Amino acid sequence: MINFKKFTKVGVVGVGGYVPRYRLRVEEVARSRGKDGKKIVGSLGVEQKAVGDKDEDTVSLAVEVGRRALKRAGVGASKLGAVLVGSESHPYAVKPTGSIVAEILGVGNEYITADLEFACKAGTTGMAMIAGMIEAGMIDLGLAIGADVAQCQPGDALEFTAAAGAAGVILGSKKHSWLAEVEHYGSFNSDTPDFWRREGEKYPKHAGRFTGEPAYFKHVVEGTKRFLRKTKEKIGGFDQVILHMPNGKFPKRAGQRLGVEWEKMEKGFLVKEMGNPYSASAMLGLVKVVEEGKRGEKILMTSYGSGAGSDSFSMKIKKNIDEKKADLAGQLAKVEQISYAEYLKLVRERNL
Amino acid sequence: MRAVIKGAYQTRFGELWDKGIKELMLEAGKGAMKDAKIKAGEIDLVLVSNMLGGRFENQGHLGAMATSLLGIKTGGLRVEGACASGGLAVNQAVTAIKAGEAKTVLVIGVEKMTDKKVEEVTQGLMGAASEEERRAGLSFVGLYALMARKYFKEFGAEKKDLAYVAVKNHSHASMNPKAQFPFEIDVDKVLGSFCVAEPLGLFDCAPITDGAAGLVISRRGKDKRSVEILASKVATDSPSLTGRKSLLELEATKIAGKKAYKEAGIKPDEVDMAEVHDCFTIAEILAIEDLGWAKKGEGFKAVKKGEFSLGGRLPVNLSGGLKACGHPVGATGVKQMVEVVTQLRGEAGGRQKKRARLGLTHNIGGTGGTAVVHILKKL
Amino acid sequence: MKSAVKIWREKDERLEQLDKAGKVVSWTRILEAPAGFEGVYIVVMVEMRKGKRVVGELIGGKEPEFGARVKGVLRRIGRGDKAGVIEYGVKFKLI
Repeated sequence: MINFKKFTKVGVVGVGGYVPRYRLRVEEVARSRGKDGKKIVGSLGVEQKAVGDKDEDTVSLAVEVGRRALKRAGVGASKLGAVLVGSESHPYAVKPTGSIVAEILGVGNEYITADLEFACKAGTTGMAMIAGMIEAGMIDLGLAIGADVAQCQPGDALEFTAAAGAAGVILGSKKHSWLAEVEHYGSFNSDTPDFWRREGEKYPKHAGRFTGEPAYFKHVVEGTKRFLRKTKEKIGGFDQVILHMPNGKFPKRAGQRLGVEWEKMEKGFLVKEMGNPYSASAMLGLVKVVEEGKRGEKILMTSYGSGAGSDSFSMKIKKNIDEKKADLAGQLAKVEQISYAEYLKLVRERNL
Repeated sequence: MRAVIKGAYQTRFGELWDKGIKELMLEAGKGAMKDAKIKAGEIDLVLVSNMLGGRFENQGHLGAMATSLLGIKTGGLRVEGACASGGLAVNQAVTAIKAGEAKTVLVIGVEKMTDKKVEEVTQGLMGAASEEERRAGLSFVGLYALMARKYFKEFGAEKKDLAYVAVKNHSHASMNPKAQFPFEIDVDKVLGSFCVAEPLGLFDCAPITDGAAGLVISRRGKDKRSVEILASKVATDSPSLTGRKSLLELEATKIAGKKAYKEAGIKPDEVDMAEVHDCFTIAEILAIEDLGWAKKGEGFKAVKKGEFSLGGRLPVNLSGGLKACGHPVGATGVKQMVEVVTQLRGEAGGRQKKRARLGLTHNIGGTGGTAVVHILKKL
Repeated sequence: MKSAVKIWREKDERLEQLDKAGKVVSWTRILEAPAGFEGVYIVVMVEMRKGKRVVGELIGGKEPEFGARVKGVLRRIGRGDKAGVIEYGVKFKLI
């Protein structure tokens, strides 16, 4: 049982997003397989995915967003009491991404860190843990990051959508610095083998259509409904809704089932133009919504991690952020198309 | 007290699959001793110049290895200064003789490079640079390419202008039976070669070579074939290119050159022929300028005009240089001396500079971290 | 395999230019990479604001011009050993 008490001391004080510049079009991948790209774009609801450079990994992406979030928060890194990085592509199986990132950011020695893994919801789970620590008075500031340079087997269906990206959210206890107030957190989990990767295996495996109803939809829709019930909120009371985006179809369908108008999902709906950056998917949607937020807007975010579970957060924006400072939108506008051959070269050089 | 070179010998340079480091040292040592007409028992000290033995073969202790191959128990040690190891070994031989510690010194320069693959050799040669440069993914060619690009911008030179250096050195090498590439090439061949690090192509670069060279250096005596060492000077600078004052010159060359001219009591244009360190075509151009034979930025024009070819005012790299004779790193500085000695003795056959009286060798470590300049005189 | 201790000890030196800006002094495109590096890439020599010169890879694959402004970003250095400690350092990005 989770206590659905409203947080009293937790707010978002900084956000940062980073999406690598390169884009690989779904049609380009399809062409390499002799398939009809237009039809695949139609069925996935995704046009292209973001691809990391040969020398980018979860650590380098996490550092990028950590710096941006700290800058946005106007806070010195040494003030952070926690650095939690959630990812499916931690560079080490043993040696935490968190301490490498914290050291580069200049956090010092006194902070909590350990690596988090729960497929695409590891980052939001980090947010929940930090929120709890702040509410308990253990720390005043914590940085939660969801970052991934997604791995997928060449030739697999995931190749169309598995992307790279990172999002960082700094939560803090000082009300006057809040960009958004964090109200509630909830989670809904089960042992559901829809998508997994065994220790030592290079690429993940999935159970085909099983990843839909019994996995994504069950946890996102049921999880969100339960969250709304327990927090006594109505879906209509939210201005912005972000749901995990493994492709362009699932979140739209889930939104419909929850009774969310498409206009409320549009702002944070990044999957069509950048694919699915796993642990950064929902969080990047959140970063965009906060960066372009209007005072008073209520935000609902539900992430989903295979294996399986969902995290839900409700927030309320306290401050309008200067539109000109909306960093993520600017990044998403500057893209560079690459060919399938160039993509394979990057993957090869990254994995040597 | 002046030191003289009594014996000089160089092995063939090239891909010598059958010869390891020991065989090369022995051939060079014995060859020099035979040329000097001395026996092993007359040697007081053996200096071995080598850069990569420790890394590639896990073999240090080359001084003792050399003396033991020759059957003697005198002093022996390895001298290392990257690609300037050879020049430094000669410099130390001269120092030992001037100090009275040795009457006769055998210098052996040796390098075995072809047991390793190209990427490993490229990585190994970066040992002459700095950790920062290695971390940047630079290769040696890359470092000189940084200089070449700046040189082009500053003085209006282009790739074609560098090609004349390679063409010249190959032309000289075609008359050197010991050279790795004893054949002529033309400018088109140079420009058409694979790019290695823009703007430098394969034919702008010295090859990977095995080889050794030996010298017997002693106190001045009555031997008519002896060649006097008028000057032996060393200068250093930051091993990293980022620590240099300018990318357009090797300050260490200028300093060592000036000190050598002063010690020898001569002006730069009195030199009759020279062996300079053309690890890359651009390096020869910079050397020509830094040694005072052309104004800064004009070196490439003078090369094109033929001023530094056989028949020109100051033939440079009659052996074929590092480019065409080959560049077994630790041996080069010693081989340069062998060539000058051969020229001053009038024994260079088709590539002889007529009436050569004063010769100069210029040996560089890394991208200019060490420079060694020697001036030799016919007795 | 590069020593884990060496990688740890040189950390601060490797990260010195992170987020700092400078101007391109010269560059080359490496086509034959040394062991430990892969593919084709551009390396630049940069003069930082206080006059110090450094070298590093230029990300993005586009040739710079003399005097172009660049900034240091965090990236993985080299290929190293698959089982060894990863080196993170600064590469340059055109701004």
